[in-house]
Formats: sequence, C-alpha cells, structure tokens
Amino acid sequence: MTNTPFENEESSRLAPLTRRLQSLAAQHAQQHESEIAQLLRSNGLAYGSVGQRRLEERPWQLDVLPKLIEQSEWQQLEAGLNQRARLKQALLNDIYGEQALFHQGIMPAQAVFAHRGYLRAVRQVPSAWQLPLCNIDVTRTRHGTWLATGDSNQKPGHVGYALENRLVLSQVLPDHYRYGRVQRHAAYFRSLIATLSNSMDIDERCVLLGYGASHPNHFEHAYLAKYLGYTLVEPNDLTVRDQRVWLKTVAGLQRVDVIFRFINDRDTDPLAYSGGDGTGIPGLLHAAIANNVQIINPLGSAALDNPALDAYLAPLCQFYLGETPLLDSVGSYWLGDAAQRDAAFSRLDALSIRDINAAPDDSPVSALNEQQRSALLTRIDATPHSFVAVEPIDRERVESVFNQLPTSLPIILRTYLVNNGENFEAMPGGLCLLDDNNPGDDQQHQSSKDVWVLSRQNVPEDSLLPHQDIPDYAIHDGELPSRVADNLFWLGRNAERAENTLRNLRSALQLMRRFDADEQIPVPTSELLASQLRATTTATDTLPGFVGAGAARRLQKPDRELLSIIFNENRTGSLANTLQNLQFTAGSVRDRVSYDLLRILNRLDDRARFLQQESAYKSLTGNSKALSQLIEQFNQLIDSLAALSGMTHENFTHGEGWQFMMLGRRIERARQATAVLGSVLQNNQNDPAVLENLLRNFDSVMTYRSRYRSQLDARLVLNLLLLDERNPRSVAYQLLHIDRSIRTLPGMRRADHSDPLLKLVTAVLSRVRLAEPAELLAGNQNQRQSLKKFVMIIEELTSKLATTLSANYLTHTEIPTNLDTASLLTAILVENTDPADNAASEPRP
Amino acid sequence: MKVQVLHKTDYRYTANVSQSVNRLCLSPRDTPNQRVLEHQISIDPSPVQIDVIEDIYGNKINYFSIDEPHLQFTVTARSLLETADQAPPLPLAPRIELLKKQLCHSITGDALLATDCLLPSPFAPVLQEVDSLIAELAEHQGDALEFSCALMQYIFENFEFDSTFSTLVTPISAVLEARRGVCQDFAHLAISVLRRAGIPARYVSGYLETLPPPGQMKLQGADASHAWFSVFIPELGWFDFDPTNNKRPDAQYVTTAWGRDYADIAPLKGVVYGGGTPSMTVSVDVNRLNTGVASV
Repeated sequence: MTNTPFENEESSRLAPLTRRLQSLAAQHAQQHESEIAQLLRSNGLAYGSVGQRRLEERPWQLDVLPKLIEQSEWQQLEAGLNQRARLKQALLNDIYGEQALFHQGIMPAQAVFAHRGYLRAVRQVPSAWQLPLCNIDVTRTRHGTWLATGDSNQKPGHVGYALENRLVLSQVLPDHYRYGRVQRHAAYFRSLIATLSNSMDIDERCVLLGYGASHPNHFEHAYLAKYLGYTLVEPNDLTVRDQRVWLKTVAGLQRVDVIFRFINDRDTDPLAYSGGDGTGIPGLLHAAIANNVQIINPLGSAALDNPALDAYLAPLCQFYLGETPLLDSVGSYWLGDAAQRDAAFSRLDALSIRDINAAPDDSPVSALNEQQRSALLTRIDATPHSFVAVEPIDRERVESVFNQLPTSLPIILRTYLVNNGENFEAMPGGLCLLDDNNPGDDQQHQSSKDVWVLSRQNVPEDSLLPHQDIPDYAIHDGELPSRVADNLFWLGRNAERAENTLRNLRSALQLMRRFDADEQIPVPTSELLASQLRATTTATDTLPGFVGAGAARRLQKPDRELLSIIFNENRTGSLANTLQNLQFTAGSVRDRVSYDLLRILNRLDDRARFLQQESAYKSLTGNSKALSQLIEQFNQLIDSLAALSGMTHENFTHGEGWQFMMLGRRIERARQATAVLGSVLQNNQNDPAVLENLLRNFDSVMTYRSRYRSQLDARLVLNLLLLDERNPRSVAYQLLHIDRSIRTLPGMRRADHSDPLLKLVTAVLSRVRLAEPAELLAGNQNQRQSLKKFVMIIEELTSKLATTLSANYLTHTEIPTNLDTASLLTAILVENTDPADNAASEPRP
Repeated sequence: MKVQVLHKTDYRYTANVSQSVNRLCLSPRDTPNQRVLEHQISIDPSPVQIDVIEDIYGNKINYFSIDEPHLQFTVTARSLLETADQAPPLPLAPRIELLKKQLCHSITGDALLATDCLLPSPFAPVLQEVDSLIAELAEHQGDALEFSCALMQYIFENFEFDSTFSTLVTPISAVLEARRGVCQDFAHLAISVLRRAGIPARYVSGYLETLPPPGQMKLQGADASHAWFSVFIPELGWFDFDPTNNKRPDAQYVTTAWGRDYADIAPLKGVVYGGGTPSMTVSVDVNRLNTGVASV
C-alpha cells in the first residue's frame, strides 16, 4: 500500500484502514512482529527489572494492529474524560480544603476517610493543591458505550509506553499511519513539559522520581527522564533539610524545586505514612506543606482513586460542575451506606465486590465458593465502609495478533490528561492494555496496542520533540547524583574487569589448544600454561584457584576450575558474574545512555547468552572443538567490550560522569595489571614464552618489538608494562590519568596537595616512577621479595584510592532506617517497670 | 493543681548518624480540663530550625532534622500545667442506636471528625472477634457513656496488666486471647470494641502522676507516659476513660495529644541515616508543685 494517494477528502477512513490492517496482519505478521520487537529493544524499553535475573524476561509486547477510534467518537469520549478530570480537581481541592461536600451532605465523609489514599495531614495546606495530571482508565462495552473503570491520579503510569508504542508503530507502519491521519501525542507531552516548567522559575530544578533500578518500571522511567530531559532520581538521592528538598550530587547538595514523581504516596515519606518499609524521603510531606517543593501530582492525590466516589458520581458532578455525567462509571454501590448496601445485597450474585484499598478483582460474587463467600461477607460486616459492589461490564473484545495468532481480547484504555492551566488536555487515544483483568497500579502488563484516533482532515506533521539522540552525560555540571556517579564508576570497573577476565581466559584456552595439538608436551606440566592459569586467578581475584590451597591439584586438572571461572554466575569474579554486574550497573544508568550505546550493551548481552549453557561444555582438556568454540565466543565478547570502550571514550561528553567512569576503568586496570605482573614475574622471569604471553595479555607485543627490537628481557618487559607512561596498558599510564581525572572532580580545582585523594595518587605515582626494574627483579630466583612487596604496596594504595574516592564523592547513598516506634515503646515500659515501683504505686501505666 | 512534667528521651548509636529527620508529639495541649502554663523542648545536638505545626486534631507537632554527624541524641520536654481537680461528670447520653443515626447526619465540626473515629485505623482495627465481649456487656448497651464506663471496668477487671507481655505492635486479637497487656493495648482494645459497637472512639496520650507508698520517697524517672481512650457524643463532646486504672482522668492526668490511635501521635518518630544499632532510654517525671495532700 505504498504510494497511496493522500486525498484531502473529509471522509472516514476507519473502514478502509481496518481492512488494510487486517490483510496486513494476515500476510506479514511475522515480519512486523520481529521488527516491533527489535525496535522496542533498541529503544531500551524492555519491560522488566534490572535484577540478577535476565533483563528481558518480560518484554513489553506491542500488537501490530492498533486500536482505531474515529474522531467523532473520540471527541465525545474526550469531553467525558475532561469532565471527570475537572471533577477530580474539584474533589481534591474540597476534600483537603473546606470539605463542602460533607457539610452539604453530598456524600458521607466516611466514604472518603475509609480510603487509605486519604492523607489526613494534607488538611493543613492553606491553599488547595492543583491536580496537574489526571489519568483515567476506560473501557468500551459491546454496545459501544464508554465507561470509566478506574483512576490513577498519583502518577501517569505507563505513559512512557504510550510514547514508545507510538514511536515504534509509526515506524513499522508508516504508510498506514499517514493514511489514517492519526492524531499526534506531541501536544500532550508539550503541555506536560510546560506544566512542569510552569511550576518553577528558569533556574530551578525538576527531577523525575522513580523507584530505582530494581523496580519493574525502571526502564520506563529512564526512558521518560531521557526523553523529557530531567534527571532521574530515586528516593535515596533526595534529602530534606530546612524544609527544602535537595539532590545529593558529587558536587554537594543541590536544591530541587519540582518533583515529577512515579512513586506512590505511601512510599514518599516514612514520617508521614507509617506502616511502610522506611524507604522514602523523610520530611518530604513537610517540605511540600511548607510550599518549598512542588510534587506532581501532589501527595494525597491517591484519595481520588477511591472507587467509592463513583457511587456518588452524578451528585458530585451536579454539585461541583452543575453538569450531568458525560462519561459514566461502572455502576457502583458504596456498602458503607445502609440503603446502597441493601440494594447491592438484594442482587449480590450479579455483582462483584471491590475492597477500595486493594487492587481491583472483578470476579463476580457468583464465582466464589461457599468458603470465599462467607469470608467476604465477614469482612464486609466488619468494615462495610471499605467496600463497593460494582455492576459487571460486558466488555468489547478487539482483534489482536500475537505470535502470529489472531485472537480477540477485552481492552482497557488508559488515558492521560494534563492541566494546561486553563483546562485539561487529553493525549489522543492514550495507551491500550490487553488483559482479562483491570490494570492494577503497578501490575505488569505484557500486551498493549497503540491507539490511533483518526482525523477527518489531514494532520500536520508534528513530531514530539526533535527525536535526536542526546549526548551521553550531557548534563549540567553539579547535577550528577552521587548514586549515578557510583554506578558509572562501577560501570567502568566492571567493563575493564570483564575485558581483562576475557583476555586471561582466552590466553589460557589458546595455550591449552596449542599444547594439546602437539602431543609431545603434556598440557598440565607446561609452565607456560601454569603461569597463565595463575595470572587468571590473580586477575579475577578468584582465590584459591590456581594460586592458593589446592592449586597444584587444579593445575594438574584445570577444567573444573576454568569452567567455574567462566560459567558460575554466583561466583564473584567469574566471567558470568562480572558480565552480569556490568549489565546491572549499565541498567541503573539507563537514562544516561545513548541509543548507540544501548545497542552495544544489547549486543553484548546477546553474545553472553552462551554463558547460560554450561552443560554444553563438559571438558576442555583435549577437547579442541570446545576450546575453539569458547575462544570464538570470547573474541566476540572482547569485540563488544572494545566497542563499548571506544563509544564511551569518543562519544561521551567528558563531564563529571565520564570522569567517574574512566576512574573506575583506570583503577581497575591498574589493580589488575599490577597483580598479573606480580604473579607472572615472581614465578618466572626468564622464560621467553612466558614473557611473550604476558606481553600479549597486555596487548603490548608490537609495542615491545618496535621499541626495544631485542630479545625478551624481563627488565624491559617490566619497564614497558609497569613504568612506561606512554603505554596505555601500563600501570604508570593508569596512575597518570587517574591523577589527571581526580584534578577535574568537583571541589578539586582549587584543592592543594593536602587533599587526601591527591596525596594518595601522588604517593602511588611517585612509587612507580621511582621504581627500578632491575632492582625489583634482583635477588633469589624464587623469592622476589622486593617485587612482591612493591606489588603489595601498589595494590594497597590503589584500593585505598578507590575507597577514598568513594567516601568523598559516592557515599551519600546510605539507606535510611526507621527508629522503630515499637522498640521505642518497649523501652519506655522496661525503663519504668521496676517491679518495686509497680507494687508501690497504685496507678499503672 | 499545678503539675510539672519532665520527659527525656535519649538515643545512643553505635555508629555515626549522618542525618536524622524527626517528628515529635510531646507538647501538651490546652483542654477543658487543663491549661499549659509553660512548655519547652530542648534538643541536643540542637537542630538549625524547629518547625511547630498543628495536625488536624489540633496537636502540636515539632519537625526538625539534625544534619551534623552525631552518636547521641537527646530530647527533653518540660511542661508546667494547671489541671482541673475532677473529671467532668458524665451526663445522660443517647442510646447507641440513636447515636448511630445522629452520626449518620453529622456533617460538620467535631462530629465530622468523629465519624473518622468509627473507622478502623492501623492499631485499632474493627474486628468481629470483639462481638462476644460486646455481648458480655449486653445489660449496659443502652446509654453510650454507660457502655463506655462498663467497658472500662470490664477491661480493668478481666485483663491483667503485664509490662513484659506486649510490644506496641501486639495485635488486638492477641491481647484478647491472652487477656493481658499494657495501657496502649487496653486503650486500643477499648477503641476497637467501641468502634465495632458504633461509638466513635479516639486514643489519648499523656502522663499519669504516680504516688509512692506512704513513707517512701518518690523515685526519679519512675513515672511513665500513659494512654487511654475518649468517646464522642454529639452535642456533648468527648469523654475520657482510663481502662488501665478503671478511672476517669482527673487532676493526676496530663493530656498530650489525641488521634485515631497510637500511630497518629507517636511521641517520637524518626528516620536516621547510618547509626548502626540504636539504643534508647526514656525517663518521665510527673510532680505536683504545691506538695499538699493529694485530693484523690
């Protein structure tokens, strides 16, 4: 259907577009599905948490068939959504303000109080809070009526997926998209940004507050933060001091003026909401009440999600707006009211019961067994105020294609409205979720559709924001959260560690393959291989391995230990473990990673998949096929890591974030290089084969040849790998660049040499500069005390450097603990209950 | 009479606390039965700023944070009050069924707030398990205040005071089962029963003066913070009952704050960064100023 003439006629294109999409789905489903999957992945919106498990366990699914809505139908629905949003705004102002609705008997106060989203402390706010965003779930019945089924007013959950779905589907079906004259999402996001920036002055700061990398929606938050251009933070990145909110950055505390939050009320402030797990930002509510920070949406908006409000929809609409409801809600009875309860109980089997404080479960009462039914009735009897009975909905089912199978599923449309100061504006269409159940708050949904609202006229080209890739880490100086710097530091270290681990393992396997082919030299006794195996243990820090207790036995039969260092993801230092840590740290800073880099990380992840198939590699010694396979896998991984290294070096703004990443890389390389040099040269300095292998591990064979043009000499090797400040693999080179990086860190530009960090780096650099290769290597063949000592000192100083760096810049990341009120009370009682006292005094506490 | 209260809370930590954020509810309030003459809170190390705000119940809450590293943290609240000698007499109250009807139509002021005190709260849930207890008080179910009095007496007579039994989080059902507890438990239990019966009830925190046995010196720090319950009757207001001592609070009682339950008015809520293992001691002294003969 390319080259479709785009007539300008004002006719409905619903029917022809539907036909075209259906035939497309029938013919090219597979092609489009894989295209969609690829785009979703490359945009970094995999749906899942960054955990120790695989990242892509529950990928977000997007149906190739969009949900089509005609303009006229949408306009009608939009008017209803708009009215509901205005109603919620009025309710927010009233329930936390004058409470006219109670005074005038519009609805009973208990219906509001019984919902746990009702925040009692917010009554103290002098001026009513605005409701900038309103999010309404709707569904369509078989008869074509739209009904509101739920509200989520704390945050526009899943809005990132709405954005993502649109970007992907408009790329996959560009012709259909243009033909359908689909209304754009751009206006919504522009208004969203305008609303957020209207809340602050030009020099003020807005952050996007999410739960952090282990939360299922982390990727969505990272995606949105990147798209909107706000710093993504977690609760622990923020602190309240003097009633103000501050961001903990590497340059100290920075004031935060607006918080665009994606966390629930209950998780915001452990001082305001008891019963949580203590996480959150203590004092946040107080700062908000003092009007020192704007929270969008404001704390307390969860009260608007209360399903009991729908039992009073018509009177509320009349009371606040003087209107009749344009968009009906699901028929509801609030069971706290005797008359409504009687009405509901008279036909209970036809209804379903919702606990207003629990995720909705719409299974009808008739589906409960006797035991469940009586348990439910008991709960209703104890707390009738917390329950509503709702009418069943005969939901329309919509054609979908998943895994090339046509199916038909009931839908929920999640709509997003933004208050632009004068009225509410709805994103045309919103997000379509496919499920048999109502979407809960953070419930994981796998399947979705893009929603296309078809205009009658041509729609002007209107891209959301210029869709360009932002340069990595291009954030203002002084806005790098300490946690992010910490993750970048470890991203650098893990990348370096992975690369070194791979190089060492590859060398070991290459030697095993080489010697195996030549049966004259039995593998286990080869000193060259032993030297490499010892270096591998030292580099990966997987003691005892080939160095500590039991080393002799393992050197004889190295297969098991090697397989463990490669595959065992639970073993610290193993290849699998290091790559997992690398992906975890990369995932944690996903909002700061460019699409190109994301692709490299995805590729790396793909190439590491063989690590899940340990069973395919039972033995290594004498198994040249397995050795070759693994070496090839390692080569591929090394290529990916090289791409990562190149990309981070060439395409990043060399700002604070980059400095921390490079510091991580350099410190790790310095540590490993020193350890490996020590391990190899202490045992063997005269075997040319060992020396050559050492040079190869440092990627310095060519440099050595071109520089010295001589036989391999341990002193020259040591000179090149330890002391040469121009060899990018040498220890000295790392230290030199660590010194330079540290001088660019915040607070350092003016610092003198009394700074502990500068002192440390100067100390270690001087040690290396003053070292004499000949002296280090002199002495008894088997007891190179001086080299051993030297290596120990350098290792210790380097690790101290890492600790000091972390203490100075990165450890604003303490976890808060609640001073347990229970222990408090127990202590009071114990303190005051000397038995003698009790007996003596009549009154008892 | 004039009563002086000294309430000292002391935290010690095994590691430095880099920051602590706190919410105090330690300031006694004016009530029909008491007047606050002097009140002072001192905090060490001293915070840059203390914000005093009123919560929806009218309690005074202090917010502050300590932003310098510290190993020890002390809060001392000193108050001087004038307390009324006797509890106000109990008037005739409406029957419980009538009370429920009246409350349904309560849409303003105290009564509106009181409807919140019919709903379950974290520490005072509404449970069917208390129905048998309500049944035992069947003969007192006419007048709502008579019922409250009977409930106070019932708890006093049938539940054993046992300071070793309970931590604060003891669920009501465990207290019912064991028939023992401390003042917080008895207050929460009574509130649960009253809410289930349809009478609005709230939790009151404060202090109780203890008297040494005749001829003995009073021990320093031997007093304690205390808790009891209060019920609401439309147009008549709130009435206090102490189930731990089977007594309507009088001149020996000092009221600090009230709320739906303990969680609303915990004396000290705090969140600390760092600190290792905290340990805490509390001492309370309640002393009458004109040491005359007690009029109890």
